Amino acid sequence: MLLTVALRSLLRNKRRTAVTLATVAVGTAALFLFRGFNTGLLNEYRNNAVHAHYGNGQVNTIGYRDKVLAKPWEAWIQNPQEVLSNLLKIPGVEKVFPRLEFSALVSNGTRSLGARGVGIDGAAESEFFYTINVVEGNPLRDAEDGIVLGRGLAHSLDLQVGQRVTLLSNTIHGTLNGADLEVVGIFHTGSRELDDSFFQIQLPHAQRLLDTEKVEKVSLGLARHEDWARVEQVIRATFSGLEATPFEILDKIYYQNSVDFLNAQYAIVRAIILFVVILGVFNTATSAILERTQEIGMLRANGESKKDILSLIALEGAFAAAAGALIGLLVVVLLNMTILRDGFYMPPGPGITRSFKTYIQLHSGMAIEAAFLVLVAAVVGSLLAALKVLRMPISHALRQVG
Amino acid sequence: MESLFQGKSVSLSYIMDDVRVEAIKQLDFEIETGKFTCLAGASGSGKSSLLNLLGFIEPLQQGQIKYRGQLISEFSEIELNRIRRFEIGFVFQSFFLIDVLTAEENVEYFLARQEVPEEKRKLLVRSALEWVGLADHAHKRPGQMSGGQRQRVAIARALAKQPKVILADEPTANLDSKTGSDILQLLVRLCREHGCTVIMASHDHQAINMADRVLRLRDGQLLGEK
Repeated sequence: MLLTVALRSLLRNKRRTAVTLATVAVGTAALFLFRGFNTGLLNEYRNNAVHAHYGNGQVNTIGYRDKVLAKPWEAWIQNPQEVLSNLLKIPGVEKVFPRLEFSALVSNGTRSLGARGVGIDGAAESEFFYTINVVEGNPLRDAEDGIVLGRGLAHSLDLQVGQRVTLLSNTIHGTLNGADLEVVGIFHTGSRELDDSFFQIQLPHAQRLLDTEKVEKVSLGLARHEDWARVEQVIRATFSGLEATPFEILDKIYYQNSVDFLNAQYAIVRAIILFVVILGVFNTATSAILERTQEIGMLRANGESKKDILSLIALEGAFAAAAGALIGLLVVVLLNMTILRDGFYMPPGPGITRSFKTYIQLHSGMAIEAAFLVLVAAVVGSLLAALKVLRMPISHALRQVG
Repeated sequence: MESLFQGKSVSLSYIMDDVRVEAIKQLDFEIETGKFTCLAGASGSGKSSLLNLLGFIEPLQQGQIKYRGQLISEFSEIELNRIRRFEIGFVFQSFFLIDVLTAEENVEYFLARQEVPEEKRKLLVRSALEWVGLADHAHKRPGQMSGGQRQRVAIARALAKQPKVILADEPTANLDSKTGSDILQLLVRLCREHGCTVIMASHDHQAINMADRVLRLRDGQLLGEK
C-alpha cells in the first residue's frame, strides 16, 4: 500500500515530478559521462605509457631499481636468451623486449649532449611500441647501424633523418668506446622527459658499446594488462633473483600521478553534482511535502510513525530518482553511440606535449555507481524536506493549509 | 459503565499570532465507553483541543489524562502510535482522504498498515463501504466524489479499523444540512450497532440532541453537561 501511494504520488503534480526527474537525470548523466570520460582518458594515458616505452612492466634483478650501484652491470640479467624464452612461456605474456639502458654523449660532430640511450630489439619493438609516434623517418626496426632520437634531443643537436651521429660511452670495464650511427627516425612520445633526452639503438650495438652480453631488463608485452598481477606472481615464484614491476610504478610521474589527479578531480566534481541533486530534489520535495502537510498529519493521527512517513517519502524520492537515473543513463549511452562515437581530441595534459584522441568509455559498474549515488542523494533531499513537517505536532500539521 | 478517558486538571495553551491562547483551563472530565459523547461549544471553546488531546495528537502540557485506566504520559511514542493505529479512528472536518487512492483503497490503507490479511481486509473494506452506502463508489477517487460522499469514506475508513473509539472533529461543518444529518445518523448508528465509543466535537444542535452525553465547553472550561 505504501508502494501504491508512493508511486501514484509521482503523478500528483506532473510538472514538479518532471523537474525532479530532470534534476536526477542530469545529475546521473553528468556523473556517468564524467566517469566514462575519465576512464577513456586514463586508458589513453595507460596506452601511451605502455606502448610508448615501458611495456606492461619490466623484469630486472631483485633490488636493482631501488639501489644506486657503483657497478650496475653486476646486477644485470645474465643468460638473457634463456630468461626471454622462459618468460614467453608464462600464460598472458605475448612479447618480451630485452633492453640495455646506458648514458652516452651524442655528438653531431660539432656539439655533444649527454643523453640516455637504450639498446632494443628494433624489429620486435616496432610493432608493440606504436605510440612512440615517429614524426620523421622510421622506427628502428632492423636498421643495424640506425639510431632513433627523441624530438627534443634531435632538435637540440640540429639532427635530421639521414645524418650521422657519434655515440661515446664507457664500457663496463671503464674504457672509452664509440659508435658511428645514422639517424633513421625521430620520435615524439608526448612525454617531455623521454623526448628531450632519449635515443634508441639496436641491442647488439649497445652491448658492444658497453662490452657486455647481459641485458639490463626485459620489458613485457601482455595480451591484457589485467593479467599483470598473475604474471608477476609467476615470475616471483619461478625466477629466482628476478622481480617484475608494473608500468604504473615505473611511470609514476606520468601515469600514476595522472590517475591520482583525475580521481581527485572526479571526487570533487562528484561531490558538487551530488550536492546540486540534493538541493534540487530538496527544493521540489519541500513544496510537494508542504502541500501534503495535512495528509501527513492524518497519517500520523492514524498511527503512522515518523519512521513510516520517512519510509513513504524515501520511497517516493527513490521512485522518482530511479526513473530519472534511468533516463540519464540512457541519454549518455545514446550520446556515446552517436555524436561521441568517434571520440574527440584533447589538448596535451600535464607532462605531455602532444594532443591525443580519447573516447568516452562506459561500463555497467559506472552506470550502477552513478545511479546509486544520485538515488541516495535524491532520497536524502526528500528526507530533509520531510523533516520540517515531521517536527510539527500532529494537530499543527492537520491545521496547516496546503 | 467503564470509563474510557479520565482527565484531571488538564490545561493546554498555545501561541497564536504572538498571543498565548489558553485553550483548556484546569479541566476535569470523564468519558464513558460505548457512548456517543458530544463536546459542544462555540468556536474557540476548546472542544477541538480536547479532542486532539484525547487522540494523542496534541502533546499534553499540564494535568493528567488516563486512557483505559492508564496515564497517557506513561505511554511511549511507539505505544501511542500503536493505540492510534489500532484503537482510535478519526473523522475530520476536512475529510483528509488520500487523493491518489480510490475510496476502497483509502479504507484499506490503514488495514494494510495494521497487517490485516488481504482476504479479511477486502471483506472489512467492502462491508464498511456498504455500511456507509458507498459500495457503488468504491473505485472513485476523492476528487470524483461530493463532500458528503468523502465524509462517508472517512467514516468507513475509521469504522474498518474496528476501533474502540472514534474521534470526530466537526464532521458536518463542511456539509449541507441534509448531508450533515445523514453523517450524524451514521455516527450514531456506529455507536449503537458497533458498540464503538464516539466522541464528537460540534456546535451543531442536531448533534447535541442526538448525543448520549454532552459536555458543554466555554473558554476552555466545562460549563455543564447533559
